[in-house]
Formats: sequence, structure tokens, C-alpha cells
Amino acid sequence: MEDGAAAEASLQENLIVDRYYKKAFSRGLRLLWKAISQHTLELIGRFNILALSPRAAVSSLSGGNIQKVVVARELSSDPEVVIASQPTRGIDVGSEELVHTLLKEARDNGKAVFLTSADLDEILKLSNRILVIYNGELVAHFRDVAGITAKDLGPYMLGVQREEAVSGEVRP
Amino acid sequence: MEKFVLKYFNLIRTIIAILIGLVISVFLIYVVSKDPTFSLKQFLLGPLLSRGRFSNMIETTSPILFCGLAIAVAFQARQFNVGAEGSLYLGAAVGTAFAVSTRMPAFLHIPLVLLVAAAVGAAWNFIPGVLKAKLKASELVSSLMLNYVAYFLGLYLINFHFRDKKAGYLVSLQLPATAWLQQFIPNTRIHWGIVLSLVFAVLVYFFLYHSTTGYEVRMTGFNEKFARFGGIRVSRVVILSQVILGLIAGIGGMTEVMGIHHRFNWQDFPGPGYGWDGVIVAIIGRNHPLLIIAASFFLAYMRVGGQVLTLMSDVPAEMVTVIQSMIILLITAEAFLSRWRYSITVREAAR
Repeated sequence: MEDGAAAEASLQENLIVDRYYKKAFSRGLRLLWKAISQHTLELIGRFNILALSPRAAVSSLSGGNIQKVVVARELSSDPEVVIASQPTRGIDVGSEELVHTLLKEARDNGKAVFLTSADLDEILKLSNRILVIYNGELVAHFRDVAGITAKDLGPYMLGVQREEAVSGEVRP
Repeated sequence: MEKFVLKYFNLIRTIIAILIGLVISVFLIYVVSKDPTFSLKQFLLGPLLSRGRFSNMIETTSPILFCGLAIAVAFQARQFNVGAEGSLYLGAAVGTAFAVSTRMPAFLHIPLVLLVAAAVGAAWNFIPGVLKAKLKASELVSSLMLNYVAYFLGLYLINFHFRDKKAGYLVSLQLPATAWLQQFIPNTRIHWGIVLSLVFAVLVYFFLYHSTTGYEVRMTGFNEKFARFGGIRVSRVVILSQVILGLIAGIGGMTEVMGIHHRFNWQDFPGPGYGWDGVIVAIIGRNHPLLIIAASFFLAYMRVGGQVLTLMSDVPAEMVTVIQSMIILLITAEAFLSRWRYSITVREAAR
């Protein structure tokens, strides 16, 4: 969280950090604050962020809302690859649902989504493929997750069982 | 009422700090002075009552403001560079050397001299900037040390190569009139450099809050890693912010020479001290260019009040410095009254 946002800066300043130089938000050297706050309001609505105004300091938001700010910025930049590490840790149920929906949306739009999480339910719910790592080594690769439960993953996660010659390779 | 306090908390805190400072100064003056009422009046009203002193206060504001703006740009990027003093000094020294050795019409001479001073100031602070960005050398230490180097380099240049041997005391040759910033109010020394410092305050404001580069500077200051992850070239910003500091301070020093004495006459170690005043006003003004105007004016008022007090009353100069420092100390204490704010915030939230 520390590096995902600038706490003392405003919501709008946080949301444009990877796009302030683009045509929509600046002309020459000048920042177009009107367009920026318009864009921020849009993201506040779309990602359901609870904030008083685009100019509110990020530090004034709750933890879950700060997380949504980060998610909003990253997913609204239309990335080809999403690496989500513990994307829902410590946030409320409603926001968790929203993050899940957004990750699924990204997947359905043909983006590569890499999810790592300590929440097994989350992994089982969202993933198409599951890789298990034990002690720094790849020990299992479930190419088809239909019918897989936490029970099936358990032995691999504990290092009791391991597949021979596992590879993370995707077969066409 | 409580909402009002929360909204204007910083302003209210500053005013309370000033009041407490004044109460303590009154006490100190009562202790050391035989005629405390007279002394106090000299200190508080002295700068305001005569035209000459009022003009002194305005003149003093200008170099402090230049340095405050310079420091603010670096501080906003969270670069604790205190090199305004060195850039101001060396910029003014080399600018003076350039001015006395060239002859051209005023419309060329003034901007060129300012440009030389700006370039020297900028180049000087490029050094701590690069050392920080490439070698992670603390800019606080390197800029501080370079201030001394700048001081003696400047003195060497002026005293060995551009000294006026006919002047009878240690000063540079007089600047040709084409390089003077005119004093435009009769019987005062208020000159165009002061107007220029106000223009710079507005420019720095727009730079920091309305330009893409200013945005990069502020984001780097807020959270360097975050800025880097966002794609901002942080080491470029680290260098640039310190170069801009030197540029503004160099111009500030030069306008003093061009507007007041028309000679370089800063001979007393350790220099004129405006660079340090700049650090103070940047902190009081929370690195905001427009607040720094007010802070510079206030500091100039304190400085001139102190001079008047030393000159006119029996309060010794040492005590004057103690009083000034104490008031400044109170204002710059960031956490002062923070508990008060906390309890109001809690009460507001409970509603």
C-alpha cells in the first residue's frame, strides 16, 4: 500500500500519476485540471470510491477505499497484463466483490491476469488455472479447475505431494 | 466555530504562535530595558512609522522572497537543499563581474546580467543535485558545504579581480548604469527587483501547481517510489528541482546588487544570510509560493524591527536576535497545537 499511493496528495493527483502527460490531461506544459477532475469523478463513480471530492487527500480515505483508488488507476489504464497480489486483503465484503468482478472483466476481455493470494476461496473462484508453489518450487499445475477444491490443493501446499516434472507452460 | 478552526487551522496556529512569541518578547524586553514601553514600540511599530524604514522593509522582503521560492521548489520535491545562499552569492558575484566588464544598452544589459547570475546559480546547485541523484550523497550536506566554497570563490573573484581600488573599502567596481534596476519611488530604494520577485512568486506558483513538471516535482516529494512506479523519471526531477533552486536564488542575489548598492559589497562572513532566511520563510509558508510572500514580508518586518530596536533602544543586539529567533522557532514548530486540532476533529466526527 505504501508505494501504491501518495497519501498526502489528492485523489485526482493520485489517479493521474501514470497518465498526466497524455493529451487528455495536459496541453504543452500545462495540466488541464478540469479534465483531470472530470476523469476522477468518472472513476469515483465507476469504482464506487467513497470520497468527498476529487481534491480530497488520499490519507482521508479508509483503507478499503485507498485500495480501490489503486485498483481504479491500474485497471482504468487498460493494461494487457494485470499482476494482482493480495488484491482484497483487508477490505470490506462489498469492495472485495467489486475487485473480483473487475478482475474477471479484465480476464474476459482477453487480458492476462496473474493473481496471487492467501485466500484460497478467492483463487478457486477467479482462476482458470492454478499453480502451487512450495518452498520456492513449482509443485503442481491444475490446468482445469473444474471440480477442484481446497482439499485437492492442500497436500501440494503442505509439500506432502508433488507432481513429477511440473511446468507452468500453457498448452494451446 | 469548530469547523472554522479546522479549515483555517494553520493560519490560526501561526497567529497564536506569533502572539505567544510577542508575549515572551515583551517579557524579555521588560527584563533588559530601562524604558520597556519605548523599546517595545520601536520593535513593533518602528518598521511601520517612517517612510524610510517602511521602504527598508519592502527592500528586505525581495531577496528573502527569492530565496524562499527557490528553497520551496526543492523542498516540494523533498530535497533538503539549503544551497540558496551559495547560489545567491556566487550568482551575484559572477553577475557583477560580467556587468562591470561589458558595455551595452540597458534593454540588453539587464536581462543578460540576470541570465548570467541565473546560469551560475543553477550550475552551482546542479552539483548537489547530481551527487544526490547518481551517488545518493545527502544534498543537505553537499549544499551546505558548497555554500562556503561559493562564498570564498565569490570573495576571491571580487576582491582580486573586480575590486574598486579607489573606493577606500572592499567593494567591487560600480555597475554601469545600464545594468541598474531603477529605484522608482522617490526617497526610497524600492526598485524593480522587488516587482520581479513578486512576478517570480506567481510563476513558481503556476509551475508547481499547474504544470506537468511541477506535478512531477510534487509527486516525487510526496512519495518517491510511488512517483517512480507511476513512470516519473525521479532522478531527473531530483536534479531539476535543485537546479531551479539555484536559478531563482542567483537572480535574487543579482537583483540586490543591481537595485540597491550597484556594487557587490557582501564582505562579512558568512554572507548576507538571505539564503537562510529563505529556508525559514519556505517552512513558515509551507512551501506554497503565495504564502511565502506573506512569510517573507513578516520576516522582513522582524528583521527591520530588530534593526530599529538595536539602533534606537538600550536593548542589546544579542537580545534582539534571541527575540527574533524565538518567534520564528514558535511559528515553524509544526506539531504546535496539534492535540487541540485532534480533539476538535474527534468532536466534529462524533456529531
